[in-house]
Amino acid sequence: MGEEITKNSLAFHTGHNLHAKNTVRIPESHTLHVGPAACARRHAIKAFENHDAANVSHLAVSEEDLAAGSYEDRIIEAVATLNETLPAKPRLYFICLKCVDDLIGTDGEAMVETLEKAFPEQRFAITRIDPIMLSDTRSPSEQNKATHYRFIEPNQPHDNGVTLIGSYTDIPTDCELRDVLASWNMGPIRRILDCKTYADYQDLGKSRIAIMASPMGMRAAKELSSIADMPCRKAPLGYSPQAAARFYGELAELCGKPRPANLAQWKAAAESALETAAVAAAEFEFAVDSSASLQSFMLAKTMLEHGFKVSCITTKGVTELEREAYDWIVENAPDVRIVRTHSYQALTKDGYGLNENLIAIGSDFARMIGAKRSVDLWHDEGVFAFQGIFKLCRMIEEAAR
Amino acid sequence: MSTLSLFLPPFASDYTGAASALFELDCLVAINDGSCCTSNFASYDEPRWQSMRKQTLCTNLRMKDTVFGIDERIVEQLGEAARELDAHRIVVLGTPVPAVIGTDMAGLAAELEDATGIPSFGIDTTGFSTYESGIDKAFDLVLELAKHADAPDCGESFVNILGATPLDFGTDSARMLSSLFEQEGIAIGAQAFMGIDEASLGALRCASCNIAISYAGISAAQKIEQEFGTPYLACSFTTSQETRATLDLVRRIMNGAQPVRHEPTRATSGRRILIVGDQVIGNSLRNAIRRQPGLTNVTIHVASFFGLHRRHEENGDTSLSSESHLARLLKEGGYDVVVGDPLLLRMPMLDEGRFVSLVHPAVSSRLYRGQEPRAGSRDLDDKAKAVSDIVARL
Repeated sequence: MGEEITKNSLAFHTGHNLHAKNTVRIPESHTLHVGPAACARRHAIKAFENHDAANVSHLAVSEEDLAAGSYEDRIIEAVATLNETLPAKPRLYFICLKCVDDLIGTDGEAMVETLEKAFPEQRFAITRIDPIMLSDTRSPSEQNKATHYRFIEPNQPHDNGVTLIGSYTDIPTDCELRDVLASWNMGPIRRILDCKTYADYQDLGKSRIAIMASPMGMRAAKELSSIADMPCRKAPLGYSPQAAARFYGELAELCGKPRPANLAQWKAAAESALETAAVAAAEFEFAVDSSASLQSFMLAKTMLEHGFKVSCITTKGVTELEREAYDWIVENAPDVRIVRTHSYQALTKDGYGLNENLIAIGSDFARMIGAKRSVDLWHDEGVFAFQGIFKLCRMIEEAAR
Repeated sequence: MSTLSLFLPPFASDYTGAASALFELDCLVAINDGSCCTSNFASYDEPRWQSMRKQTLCTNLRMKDTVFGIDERIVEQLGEAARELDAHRIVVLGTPVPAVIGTDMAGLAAELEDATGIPSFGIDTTGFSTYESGIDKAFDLVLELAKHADAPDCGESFVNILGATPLDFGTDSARMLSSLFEQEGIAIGAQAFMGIDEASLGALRCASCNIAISYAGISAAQKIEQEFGTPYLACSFTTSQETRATLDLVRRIMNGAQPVRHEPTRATSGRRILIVGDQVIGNSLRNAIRRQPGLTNVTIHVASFFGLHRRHEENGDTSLSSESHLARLLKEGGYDVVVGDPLLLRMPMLDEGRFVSLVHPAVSSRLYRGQEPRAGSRDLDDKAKAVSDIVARL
């Protein structure tokens, strides 16, 4: 994250009960969480909820282990025990380190080397869940997503497949992308979440192109591009008809195919849908939450450009990706309040000082500020390109009714 | 020493226990962490989070704080938040990172109090211990607050309930206990830690009798006993016969009798039963099983990952140090029936046909929400009967 919007970073958590989160699991892999017991609890419970508990174990390190400055031996012992105990010996291990590891400074690559020497038939990777290291240059979650692609064999022959990166959800069945790809004889669409076998996982490297469905897949896209020599296009961002049209143009060029015949109509229909939704919701102000869209400034900009009354945007900071939209909003809509996501200010008597009768884009934020109307969008999941714009408009109109 | 868990999740941590114990008091609680710890508490271990908006915040600790010093930023930001939120007191809880870098939580609280003028307290939870340890530390603060709280009318005879937490019981427990005691004509002073408020804090120091309904409740009751000489009983009010026996004893104590109760006969032979869970809930269930027809000649042991108070132990009870310790106990103990959190069934040595489920939220978090035992109910009568049915089949 970049620039801080408000200096005070004390946060109020809303709790994550509203949204199920998927788990990325490479077939035949096992995750060993390593850290204080408390740190792995939520991952363990989530693994149960996602039916992945058999692939996850936990090495609770003690303060004494940390005081000794290293727990490499403990990890080796744990892997040996797991190899003996698990019904099938994992092909891959992900060793997931926590915040405290950053204090003792484990060299991840050296640890992998040691582990692969101790267990030569198996491969290892270090992942990290260490929010104390969140910064403008480092997102542990983004890095972890990249690590998932590390074991794909390089230089596989390419087919007409499309590998989707960075999203926990599939391309919606009603999305025009599916028709476009089918008309180009491109497919299948491959996702790491759909891999049932290790061979399926390897097939991710066979696709002709990759689409980065979310900014969270930025590093993963780079990793896959470099391993599998696979060009990648970013999904259109910010619910912008113009960006969606540009995306299909670029995709056509990349695949050496003609532009979709209906592109201009789709763009015009999307523009019209946004304008219609803005009229339907004319009496309401809007708050755009960063948990709803990973591009909250871009979404807010699109809404402002189409006549919506956006009064508030929440964010943890302005990323480089969103810099242009942020600058545009500061210059063209100076009355829009930009507040810190999950700030303690939600608990003050007047909350963020927002009108209760607004529409919150994001039900988490709606709950936080007590808004009666909301659009249940989470991390842009279940929306893509033009389909995403149409769906957003339908949800806004419904919230306004 | 590090421990490996293959079958069970890591358990609810000490900072969760402390935050849970303070949840219903008028405190601005700051969990001093990067964000995962607060998320563990809010999303996984505190069912009241969804229905009660409380001032429990995350300090969003970052690496630069550990390099340049945590105290200055936290004092400044918490001071600002406390003023805006009109906080009457501030409590800062430790987590693994502050523990590893040696943050002085009491010192941090003192700085905070100096800067804000708001009474502030630091609790040195670490995330390396389990929830009962955090409740214990938080209770030291609760007791300190009780000493300075307005005294209730100590002429009236009443009891306190200690150790009700959503990490052991369903959240209905406070309401159900209130209803049970009201029906019995016994007044309740304070219900820690569900159903407590600032107005009832003073009652902690002058009840006729305290009733500990969990291991953490015993720790609290023993502190009050030591400080104020208040006698206590341990019973979880989850089985009908246990409830009846305890209520009779409570009345006798309120009339000046000594807290001596007659437990059912203990056998050391016959079928072997293991109850894995909180000590007081386990003891109550043990007594209920012993009162089942035909089950006088069974050996029942209680084992807990969260400590045993010696005064309430029986021979053969075990304080478990790890999942592998439990595996060893199961292998060597020759138990015919095991009672415990449903997640225990993942352990290959356990047989579903000889297992009775007893949800423990400190183990399974929100996975079985709504199925937790409720204090003030008869939830465990069915469990005792289920054990009896299995034994009869053997």
